[in-house]
Amino acid sequence: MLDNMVRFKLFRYKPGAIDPPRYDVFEIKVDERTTVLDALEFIRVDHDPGLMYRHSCHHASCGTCAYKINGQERLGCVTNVLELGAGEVVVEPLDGLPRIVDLVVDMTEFYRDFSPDWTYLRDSEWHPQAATPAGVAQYVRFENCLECGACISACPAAAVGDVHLGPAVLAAINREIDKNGHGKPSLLDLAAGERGIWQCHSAYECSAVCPSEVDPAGQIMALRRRFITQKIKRLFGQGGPDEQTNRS
Amino acid sequence: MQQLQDKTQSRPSFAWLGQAVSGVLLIAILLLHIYFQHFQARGLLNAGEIVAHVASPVIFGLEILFVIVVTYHALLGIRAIIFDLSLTEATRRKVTIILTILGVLTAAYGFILAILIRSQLVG
Amino acid sequence: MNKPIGVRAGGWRFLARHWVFPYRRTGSTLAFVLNRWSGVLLAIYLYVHLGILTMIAVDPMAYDRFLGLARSPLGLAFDVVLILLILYHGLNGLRIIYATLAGHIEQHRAQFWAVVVISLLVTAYSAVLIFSFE
Repeated sequence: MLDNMVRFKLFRYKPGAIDPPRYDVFEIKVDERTTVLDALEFIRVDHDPGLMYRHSCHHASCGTCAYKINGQERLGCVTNVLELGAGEVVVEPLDGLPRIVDLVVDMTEFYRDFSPDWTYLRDSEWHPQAATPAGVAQYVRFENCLECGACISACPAAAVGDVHLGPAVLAAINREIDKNGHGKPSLLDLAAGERGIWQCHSAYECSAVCPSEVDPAGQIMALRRRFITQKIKRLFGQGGPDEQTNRS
Repeated sequence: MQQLQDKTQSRPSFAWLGQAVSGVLLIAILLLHIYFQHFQARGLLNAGEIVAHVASPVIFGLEILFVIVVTYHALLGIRAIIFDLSLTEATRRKVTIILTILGVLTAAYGFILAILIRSQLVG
Repeated sequence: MNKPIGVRAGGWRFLARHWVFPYRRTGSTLAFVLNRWSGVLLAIYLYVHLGILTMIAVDPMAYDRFLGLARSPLGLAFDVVLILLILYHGLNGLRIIYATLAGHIEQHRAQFWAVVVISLLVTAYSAVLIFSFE
């Protein structure tokens, strides 16, 4: 395997200890398979045990290891260091959420806006000719969203403060309306409220950085169309308060 | 989930739709304004030529409409930028009131200015 | 509800990264930043323009003297930049309305560059006309 020495510049912050924040530089050896998360672990084990960062599944399923890597939001576990093509790799915490320590941000207010009433399952895209096991009618899977927070960090509206529900929540609302709209008429009003879809400035950065093909920007535009259509229908006395379960 | 009990209101949609509609109107009005005031005249008009120009009821009406729509669009845009900052509800209300007053004063000033310019032809 | 802990990133440097000099962002963030700044400049120009027009009502001779500056190469160049701002802001606004109503946001980068190219081309044509008039 080809080994390379790569410089890592890591954001450091510890209240009362490393405050104001600073950047620490580490040079470590990487090979073709080293990911940014691997590198952070090498650094923590071999250089600085005080380095703090989140990680869990290591295979882009949990969304825990989202950081800003060379200025762009990515999952550390699937970002190959050498494929970044940069001599220096800068790793910073996500924007838009309060920083607790080093690369760790507080996800509380992000999770707060996801309702436990929303369903997180969807029909699975399995081959129609594939046979299901006995007793299983169909396959389902989890929604695409990993709730990693990359979209919040990239959004010019959400990143400034708690003024916007954010792309992830709005995308979840649109998906919920797609699946269960008839039972939840207030969802569209929530999305169209003070912290909702009309705060979007069409930067579409959320869809660009989403590691899981949620396409939050497309979902937000779909919500806008739903809202406008609903208002026009109500203006002409058509359509009730319930939402159609049509895909947009 | 207290946060999910947000007041359901469509004011933000009015702002966005107002911005969109006024923007589309402005494109049409601006094209006419730039054409009549600058390109048809083949250059910048002097004071006397502007006065004569605004004497036309069509041009006069166009300019009044222009100042109203552009003021509305501009100040709604400024409001949107300010609202992107983390403001309390009370501060947002104050900002809206201040910009509304500013907008009304600006449009009124533009209207009065057009009348004064137009009156110079009679004078 | 748990109160969030930690310190939110903020300050002017933060705003600069998101609202002024977007770093490592797609074309659409650049579109948003340019749209915002062109809008702010045009809003300021609205009041400057009203101020200049006030001269016609108050002192027409002063306005005619001002025309000397307006007809200078610098003044005409200012008009060309103004046309560019108006064109970009208007066309990008139409792009955003189109994306909202029709979707197809996967085309947003191509749409942004189309807006930029059209704005530049029409501005160039306008510049030729403007400088030929005076």
